[in-house]
Amino acid sequence: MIRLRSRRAAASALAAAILLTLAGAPVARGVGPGPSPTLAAIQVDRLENGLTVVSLALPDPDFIVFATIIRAGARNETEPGTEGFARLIEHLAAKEPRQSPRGLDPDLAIRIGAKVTGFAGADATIRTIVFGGRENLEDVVRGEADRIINLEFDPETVRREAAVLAAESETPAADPDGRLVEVLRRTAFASHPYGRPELGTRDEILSLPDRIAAGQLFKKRLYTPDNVILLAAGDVVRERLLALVRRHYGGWEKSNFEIVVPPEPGADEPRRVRVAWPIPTRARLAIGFRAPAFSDREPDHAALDLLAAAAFSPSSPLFERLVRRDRKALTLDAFVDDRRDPGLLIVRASAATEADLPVIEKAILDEAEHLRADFITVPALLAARAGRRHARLLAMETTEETAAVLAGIIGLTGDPESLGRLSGLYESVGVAEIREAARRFLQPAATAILAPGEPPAPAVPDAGAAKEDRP
Amino acid sequence: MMGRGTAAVLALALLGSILAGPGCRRDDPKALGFELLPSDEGPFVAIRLLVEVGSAFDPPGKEGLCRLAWSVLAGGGSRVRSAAEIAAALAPLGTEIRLDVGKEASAFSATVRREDLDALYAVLRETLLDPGFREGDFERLKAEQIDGLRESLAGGRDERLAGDILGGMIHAGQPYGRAEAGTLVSAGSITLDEVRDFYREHFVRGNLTFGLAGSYPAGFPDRIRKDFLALPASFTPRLVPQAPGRPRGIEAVLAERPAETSAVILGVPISATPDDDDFFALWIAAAHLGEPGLASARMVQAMRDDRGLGRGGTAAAESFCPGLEGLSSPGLPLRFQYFTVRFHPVNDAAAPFLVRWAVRELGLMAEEGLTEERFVLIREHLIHSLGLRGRSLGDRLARRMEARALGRADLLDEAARILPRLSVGDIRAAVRKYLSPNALFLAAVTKDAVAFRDALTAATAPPERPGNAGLDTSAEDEAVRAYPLLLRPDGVRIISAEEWIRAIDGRIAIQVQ
Repeated sequence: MIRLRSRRAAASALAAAILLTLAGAPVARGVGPGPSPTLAAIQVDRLENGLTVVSLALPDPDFIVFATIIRAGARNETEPGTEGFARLIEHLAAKEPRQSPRGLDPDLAIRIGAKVTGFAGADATIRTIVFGGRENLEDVVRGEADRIINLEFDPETVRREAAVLAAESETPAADPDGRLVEVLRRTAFASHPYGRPELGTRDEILSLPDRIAAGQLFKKRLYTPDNVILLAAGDVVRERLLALVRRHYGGWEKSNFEIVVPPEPGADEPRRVRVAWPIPTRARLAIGFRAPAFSDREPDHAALDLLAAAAFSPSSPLFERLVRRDRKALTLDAFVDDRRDPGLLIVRASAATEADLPVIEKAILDEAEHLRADFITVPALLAARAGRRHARLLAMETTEETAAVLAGIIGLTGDPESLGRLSGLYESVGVAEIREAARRFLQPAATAILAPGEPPAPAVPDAGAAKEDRP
Repeated sequence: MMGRGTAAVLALALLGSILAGPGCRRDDPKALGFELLPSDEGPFVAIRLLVEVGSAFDPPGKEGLCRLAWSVLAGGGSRVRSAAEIAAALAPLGTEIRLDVGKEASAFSATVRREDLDALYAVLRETLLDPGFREGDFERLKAEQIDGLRESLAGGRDERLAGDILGGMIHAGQPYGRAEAGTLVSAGSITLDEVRDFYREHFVRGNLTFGLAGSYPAGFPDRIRKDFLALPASFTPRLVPQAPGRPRGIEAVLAERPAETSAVILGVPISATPDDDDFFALWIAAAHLGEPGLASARMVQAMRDDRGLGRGGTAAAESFCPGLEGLSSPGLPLRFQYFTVRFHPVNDAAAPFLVRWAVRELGLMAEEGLTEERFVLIREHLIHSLGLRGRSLGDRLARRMEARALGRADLLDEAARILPRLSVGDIRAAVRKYLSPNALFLAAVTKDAVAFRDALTAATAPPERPGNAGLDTSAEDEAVRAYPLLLRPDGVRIISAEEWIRAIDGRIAIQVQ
């Protein structure tokens, strides 16, 4: 039975529900994190084996999002032999079984018209199934439980998926923007796994079939109930969800394993790298500044995020000067990594010719220096804060979008209440917090330049040792 | 040398497009149109302005003018406020004004909180009714458009480029065959006066339909209506382009550029529209081959899973406005439909195999059809997925406005009505009626076009294994390699991708190798 109209109408009602709950966030400025407002509809339960179950009932009849959030990603590939397994395991879990040995319907997702997505990032792996019809919930829960608990490393399947991954790795390598950021990270991080490509290097991918034992250990340690959060949003009833989860995940054993991620050494000389692009393209640069880990409690990350919005967005004075007035840069933007461990604030720009890059680079570094000394006007802060707050609300218009935002934050903190707390945190960041964050973090860690042809001499000779990189 | 089929299409096109009267969707063709989806609850409002003028209205030699003119409105500030001041006004709203330019129509759109609607509308009203038209903003936005064209050669955008080339083949020499951004030469020649003139001529009441969805105030449409009385009460006659011809055999354009991967797209115009059952029968056929996100789609299983060849690809039975394809993404009205099969980029050596595989798959669908079991599964998937598609206010509004502009019912409502009554025989009949493995346009962006051509025109494909996934696909590989392609050597044209980007009027520069 198709109920298009009721489902469509439901979307705005649930947005209203979310807005009402988030509106309860404290609005005081400069007073530090306030009390923890939560999305009122979020309910959290924890099974005996450590599995966290989050139910978010929303007025969206017959529409359900079921997400499996595994707090494991490329960040956890620290032991020799584990490189590339986070993404491989996500692929193995995604395989539609053509023949199921456990009596499951291999065509379930297709039959119920579900939309299935999976992503293994730096810090978490999130698999989501979006479907209609609450009568399908049990089949979905059973199938998703089987995919993760009984995931196998069939050598033949591993070999095939490694080939798929190798082919996938060619796409980002062909994209100059993706390549620039990948090279910047590799240059900025000497020891932390954030410096490695999330897919793994091509050699690592191709050697996955030879390292199955390491992959099995990786899975045994990290793909366990005490490291996984289930999220169901939409037309869900907590008690029924819990009963189904207990039935299908109850026998899953916890591992209690704690992985040690090597910390990145402290600040040293900024590093430089240049990528010679074999095809004509605009010249571009990315400057990475050290950024704090994502936090829903400490103000530094939020402060840096607001600073990036105020200082490098289209409404910023630097954008006006570089892009609109002087037309030195074609593009300028910035973003702060949302990461479990300290990441980067990345400022990117592009120019018609490489000759303009030194001017752009100097302008960005001068702006960073200026921000360290004297930031920020109150109107700019208020605009940035309102922009972030409203953008987050707009990003949660539908059940699916809400679940995606919530799952992403849970992947970072492990805490379903972080989303509510985050709203309060952002409202508490004032001029003093931003000035302090700028002072502490706006130190360049690395600069990457990508331009066509052969690499010339470094544009800024005193900015550290130059390296060369060819795609 | 171009194929005879393409030459015939071109000759027809040279007769020129016929100008027709306005669309029949409103009582007064010179009045502002409205599409309203009000809701008493909900915190958001989506606003969308559909302008029924797109790149097909660009004057010859000035391809890219429509895109640039609307970009100047969206990003060039108003007479009162500069672009920087407009950006500052939008920043606290957490939204942006999105511009989409298609062949027949364009759209400005945004979604905001209800409380921010006034602020957003103030920006829209100012920039659309009283644009700044400053030289500096114009030059910057023009440089941006030209840069976007150049960047399409830089890697990572090959699928888009191949799609543009396919459009150029299907509508060779016609306004519909042009890329929205124009070419390096044509976009580079556009002046600010021409942008101003284009705005005056085409940004008129009869071309505009405002859409509002969500909890906007009751009097808001009237407010818009009064404000937009400032625009002339006129309209641009709709273009009635020549119908695209069908290719004779397989006609290919291989665009060469120095990157390691190839993008491949096959397509053919179809006369079935969402008013016909046949359209939805073809949708099932396309979904079987390459429904986006469907893990068991043939293109994903055969290419990605079985052979480790790239990420597979997608197939569709509708228009392919770049970036807007797919039934889940409501787009801009376009009166043409196309059946397309597009592969995500693969390594160069494997690309000709993909072509042969796809053509054979179409042949098998026409000869043997789908099995009953497969048909039921795919149909069930599509039916149950309808309620999951395009659920935001902006998506619903865009889909409704697109349907209204074309004089049709909502696409998803039609799908819900028609899909359940189709049979497996309908799919085979529709495939036979509209598709043939012997009549296809093929566009590819590749590194070594000569090797690509030689592999396509050889009686059998080269014997190398196309992938390295390890699954034994040798039997099917053998059948694919032996599958005859109806492709004459003179039906394959090799062009320089750079020349195509540069071409003065969007026609394909032919360079016989």
